[in-house]
Amino acid sequence: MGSFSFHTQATSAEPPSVEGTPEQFLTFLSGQKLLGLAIREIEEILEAEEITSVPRVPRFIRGVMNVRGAVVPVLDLAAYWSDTPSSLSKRSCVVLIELSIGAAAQKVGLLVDEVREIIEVHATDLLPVPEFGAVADLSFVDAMLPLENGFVILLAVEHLLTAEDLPAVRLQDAAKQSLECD
Amino acid sequence: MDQLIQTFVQEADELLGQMEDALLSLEENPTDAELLNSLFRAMHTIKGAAGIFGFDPVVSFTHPVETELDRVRSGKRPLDPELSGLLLQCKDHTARLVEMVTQNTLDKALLAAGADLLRQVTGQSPPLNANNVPQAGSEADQWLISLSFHETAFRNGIDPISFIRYLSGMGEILDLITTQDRLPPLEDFDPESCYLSFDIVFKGTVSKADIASVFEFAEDDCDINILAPAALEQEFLQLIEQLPEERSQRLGEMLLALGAITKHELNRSLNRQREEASTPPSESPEAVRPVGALLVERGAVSPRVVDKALERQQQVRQKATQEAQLVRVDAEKLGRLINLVGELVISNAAIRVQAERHGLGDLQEVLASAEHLVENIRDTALQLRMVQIGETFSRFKRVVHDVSKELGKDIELVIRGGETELDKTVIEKITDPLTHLVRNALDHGIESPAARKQAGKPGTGTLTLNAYHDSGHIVLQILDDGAGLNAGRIRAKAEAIGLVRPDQVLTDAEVWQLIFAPGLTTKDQANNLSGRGVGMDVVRRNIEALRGQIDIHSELGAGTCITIHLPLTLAIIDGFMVGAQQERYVIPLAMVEECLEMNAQDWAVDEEHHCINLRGEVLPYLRLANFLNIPQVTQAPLRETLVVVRVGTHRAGFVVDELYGELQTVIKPLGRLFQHFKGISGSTVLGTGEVALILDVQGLIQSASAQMVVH
Repeated sequence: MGSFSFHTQATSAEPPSVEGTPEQFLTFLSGQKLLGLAIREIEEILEAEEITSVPRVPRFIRGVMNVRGAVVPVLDLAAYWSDTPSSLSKRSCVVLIELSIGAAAQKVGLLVDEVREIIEVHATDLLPVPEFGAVADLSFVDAMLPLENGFVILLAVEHLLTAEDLPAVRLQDAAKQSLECD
Repeated sequence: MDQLIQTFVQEADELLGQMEDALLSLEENPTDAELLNSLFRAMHTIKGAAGIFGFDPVVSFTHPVETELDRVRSGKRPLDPELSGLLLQCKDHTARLVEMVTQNTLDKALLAAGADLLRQVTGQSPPLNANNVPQAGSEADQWLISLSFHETAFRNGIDPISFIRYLSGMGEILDLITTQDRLPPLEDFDPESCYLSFDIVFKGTVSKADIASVFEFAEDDCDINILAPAALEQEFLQLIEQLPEERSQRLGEMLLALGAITKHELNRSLNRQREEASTPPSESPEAVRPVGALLVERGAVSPRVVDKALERQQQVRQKATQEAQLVRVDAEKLGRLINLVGELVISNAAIRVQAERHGLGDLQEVLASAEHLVENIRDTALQLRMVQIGETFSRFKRVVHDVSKELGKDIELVIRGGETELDKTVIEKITDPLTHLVRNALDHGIESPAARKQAGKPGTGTLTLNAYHDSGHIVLQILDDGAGLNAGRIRAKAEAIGLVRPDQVLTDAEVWQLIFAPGLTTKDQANNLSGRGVGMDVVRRNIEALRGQIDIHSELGAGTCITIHLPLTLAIIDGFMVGAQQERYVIPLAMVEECLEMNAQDWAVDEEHHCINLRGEVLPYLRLANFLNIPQVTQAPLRETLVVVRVGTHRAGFVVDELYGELQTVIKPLGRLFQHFKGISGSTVLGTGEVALILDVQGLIQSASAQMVVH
């Protein structure tokens, strides 16, 4: 109840000025494309070093790395995006975010080729994602930001790993539920 | 004496009047405790007084009425109008009886009417005479009662003979010795003083309190000792064992609870103790004696009972201190400690890396002792979270009880190895799957008593929960002596839902594995316990998520045994690091049996079938680098080593390129992202800060075995 009332208050009391407040996005290169991610989603940016590869997993899972004692999986955004894995360079970085997988939150690193800059974006500047129908699933794209020489693709983190990507997650959720109610 | 009888008649009259008033008031207010008490008191007092005078007809009538009123008073019998009416008649009858006995007449018609009335009140025929109290036969149930009347007894209206006569109404007086040693020389003899003592051997099925109540009226004028018979003493000794702990704090209370002593005896002894304590030590050379000694001295209780009670008291106290030595700790705090120990292990490894890199010999020596300490701290910290599985097993007593009742089966639960310890976090996660398996065994496994008898088995089925340690694992077994798995039926079901092709050849063990497939149930009708075909696959997945393994073995008609292998802990293990190409992997050390040179000259290696003849045994193997799709970096032929691993009864060999040796492995979960992927069970952080993966040995053994069969 508490969260519900908070929610309605927040939306009803949203003044026009909030819409006018720009949101900050981090832009980075991945597979020669310029992508953007809202700053509030990002925990930190790490050097891409000593990523241990994990055998027999989909190609877009680059491996795991040690983040201050915790072992964190690293996704290769380029491989996810274009099927061509990033090659590590001096500029390669890992953008650490938190995803909710099933019910649990999980820190995940995104391997990118180069971190660019932080930009301020007004909601009015954004363009909706073009519809490709069933041909392409673009649910992980939040919006497009037109620039002078192209677009920044803003990512929707919550759709980054869909259930189809993770048969394991889906199965385990089902398993848990059926055990609980069986 | 006449005057005393007069008093008795008056008193009885008064009491009966009160009883009538109470009965009438109770008609409006049937639950008034005070009124009910006054009813009881009236009958009780008249009975007691009549007993003193030896008015047996009054006693034998009022006693059953009193018993019945006691039941009413304690709420065991409601005071309905019918009973109320009967009680009024009882009151009238008692008045007539009192009149009859005090006039020394005997009206048989009146006695018969009384018996009739009692039948109506109690709903059964009363004994005609109180002497008919059932008597136990053995010699061991003889009470020893010694009465020592004070000189003032007669003057206070106490007549010893009437008490003894009343006592004889409760049982049988086998022997009575009158002691006259207090009789003074004749010139000092006072005819109004009582100089007599009695020792009575008494037999009857009564409690000590019952006997004490006989002499209740004489307590002030008589020293009474009642010693329980040997048989009862045995009973006391047993009862002491069963006394609840909260009532085993003080000796007097313990003995009182048993009925070994009466309240009166206890109070006397306590008073005595207090008197001794207040006497200045110079006057009493002995220290204050404990209550137990005083009670024994008084002859109230035998030394054996006191000793036993003291022993029990000691036990309880010891247990209390033991409990005080336990500390309840928040599981989260323990978890934090274990995490910190894990970090300590890792940073220790990091120091070693630096020491080796810079060739600091002195440091390495110090480091070795630090490592040893860290290892001890690790083991101790992990031990903190180890709990016995017995408690989890015991929880199934209730499940077995309820389910067998529900299903109309007769099932006994046997628990073995309950003291086997494993990590609490593992226990928490195993409870659900275990419950499922137990229910399956109860529902599908064990047959109904009739079916069991038909099969020539005892009607009572047995479900056994067993636990033991085996090579760094804990093994849990769920055994039932039920019908066993019907391979034919399972196969038919599996074919029906398309799990196997009709032409496929399967061994029994392979058929049994099918029950772990989703959607398969051999039960035709689902009930609320099991039979929906979800479950076994979930059980297997949950156990595999714990890096465990589940096996099944069954014999048709003889029963089923499900064996679960689980790692002891989910936190820190001893690992063995191997290299495949440039990658490093950790194998839990407890699973490593031996390391051999992978040499075709020494061993018959069958590359095609992926197996090796190891001292006459066929051992499946796999090349880690190939199997895990590790890109080949070095072209030079590496010196291959075969690491033989074992989980339960399953063995396999892993071909690796490098052996790095043992290391303390802090298990870091890989997260849900990787849980589904076979071959890797977790990860650990090395001293260099890199992450190394821990191999899922069970999964790999299965894969290796499958590879061998397929080719």
